[in-house]
Amino acid sequence: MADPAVVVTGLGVLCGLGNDVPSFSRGLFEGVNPAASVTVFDASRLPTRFAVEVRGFEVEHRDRKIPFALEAARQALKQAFGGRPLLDARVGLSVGLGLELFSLDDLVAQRAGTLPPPAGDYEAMTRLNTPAHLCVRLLGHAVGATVPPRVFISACAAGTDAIGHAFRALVRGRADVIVAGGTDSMINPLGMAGFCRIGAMSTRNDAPGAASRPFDAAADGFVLGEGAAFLVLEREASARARGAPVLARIAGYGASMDAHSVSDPCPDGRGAAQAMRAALASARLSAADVVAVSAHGTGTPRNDPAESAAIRAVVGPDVPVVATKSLTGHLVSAAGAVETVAVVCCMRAGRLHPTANLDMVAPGCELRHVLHPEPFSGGHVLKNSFGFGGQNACLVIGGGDS
Amino acid sequence: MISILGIGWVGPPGLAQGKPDDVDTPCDPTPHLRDRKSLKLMARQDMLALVAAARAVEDARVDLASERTGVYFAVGGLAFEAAPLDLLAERSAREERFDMARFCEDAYPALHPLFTFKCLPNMPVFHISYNLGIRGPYMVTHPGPGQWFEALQAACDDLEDGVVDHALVGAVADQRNPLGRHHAARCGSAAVPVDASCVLVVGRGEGRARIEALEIEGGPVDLFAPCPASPVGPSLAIAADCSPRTLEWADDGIRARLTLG
Repeated sequence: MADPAVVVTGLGVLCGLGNDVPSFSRGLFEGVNPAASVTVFDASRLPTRFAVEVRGFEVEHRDRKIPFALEAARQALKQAFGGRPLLDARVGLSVGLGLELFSLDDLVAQRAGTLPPPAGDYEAMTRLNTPAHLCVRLLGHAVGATVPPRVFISACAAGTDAIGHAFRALVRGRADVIVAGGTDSMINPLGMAGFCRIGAMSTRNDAPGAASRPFDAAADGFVLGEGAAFLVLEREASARARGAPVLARIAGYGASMDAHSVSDPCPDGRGAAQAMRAALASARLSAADVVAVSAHGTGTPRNDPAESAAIRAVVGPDVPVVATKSLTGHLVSAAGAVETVAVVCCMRAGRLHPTANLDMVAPGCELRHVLHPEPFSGGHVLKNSFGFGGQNACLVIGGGDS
Repeated sequence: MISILGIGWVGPPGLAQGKPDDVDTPCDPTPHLRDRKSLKLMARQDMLALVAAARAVEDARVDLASERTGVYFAVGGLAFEAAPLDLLAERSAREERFDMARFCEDAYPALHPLFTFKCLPNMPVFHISYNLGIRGPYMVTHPGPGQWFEALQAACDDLEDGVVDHALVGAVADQRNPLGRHHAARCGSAAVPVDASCVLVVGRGEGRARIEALEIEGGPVDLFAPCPASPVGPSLAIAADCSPRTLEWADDGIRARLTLG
């Protein structure tokens, strides 16, 4: 018997490009990166002083990724189920989670002995940093989880891994509905300083909107973003039974490890190509079935040519390639999920969004880059995400109801 | 038939008896390094994970360096060494408060450029894959024993589906660092903080024990229910006794039942 099809029935997104799916989708096709000077803390003395922050959304929690996640999950569930509770369903959560980074304010105050007594249990538990289990429990309650959560900490691949594992869990019948995605915010002193210290971030402070330049010859590093995205995944039979529109399909997932370098991918893209082939194999598709690729595309000098080599090796040089990070920045643990939502938005709109800031293709990055919105008539899209430490993940995404 | 083919672990004296000494675990990863320069990239949990994995591979006596081996790992809470924490605290303070200007001018330049890689929780999997030549799929999760069972389930699924021929299923936790101790204190834990790792090599065929069944259940967890325990517990229990039995584990709202034959 064929594996049951896994479909997307709800989407939610919150990031610098838009605080919900309609505004996010508009942002994709307007093709302008909204990066600007960092406002959530004083970054004026760091080598990189800008990012793609979430705007127009009140963040009351000191760990920004938590309210981002709760809002994105809420949007997705509302679209899928109209806000109704899911009775008699095994509901799961599969989440790519950002680091438990600690607060430098708390650290210094703690060392000085000036940290006041916590106001209550929650503050006591979130002093210095917010432990991962708290975020997972909050999200679990928000989605009504009744089966154990799966949590992914594979850095830049975490969001894609969360969706991929949710797909596999649904195929195996381990849940009926899974809310899958990722959330992250590293726009804080330690997060940005860490990336600056290894020289990974763009320092184009005079032109933030032009700084995220995947595959471009003038790229000088990635631009940090923040936010969250979640998808409601279920088996097609259950979606059809309740008359839910199918927005897209998750058809396959593959993963691999480079075993090459802590920070750089294999230059020949071998590990990335392996993950892409594994995803196609799990979907029982061939390269000829791929009509577009949503690249990891970071604007770093090591990733982009390696990924380009992998894409050429697997699907050839003529398949359209989009790089969503040119518009959203790099959302790290949320990147794969946000970019998967972007793929679905493109499918729903019947066109591929442009890659911004690509003026001259960097050596080794020769691909069929999408520079202007172009028609998309259906078929399967590969979504690539590659994490520090050589962890490579790839989804195969198919179209939904027209 | 899926079996445990090899087991490797590293921890403080007394851990196997359930009474760990309150000492740092002796751990030397250098015999297992592909090149010595990678040592400077390794945090303590990376070293522990690599040593445990190498011991498990040696115990299994199977060549696992390939694309047909996956790594499925649960990592404990964020660990941070004392030295960089001290540096950050001392060189970012002005009048007993965090000062961004001082951080940028004093702490930031003094930070070792590689410290970022010592904080990333997916690094244990990198160091295992890099040093042991393992290039298949992976799953990196945290923070507790429930997630270790999920990793085991993902590994068994991949083995059954033919995605991999072998799986390293492991866990690591470094609790003996300032952040780890802070977390233990806020969780109200009085247990001896332990840095340990345990890895099982899982594959098809006969081995030390068959994995006959794995059931995992869960549900909503109260926000202030007890904190998850170290993810290393279940695999250490198997390392201590992998005779035919059913291992039941409950933590963080997750109930797992693993039957070994």
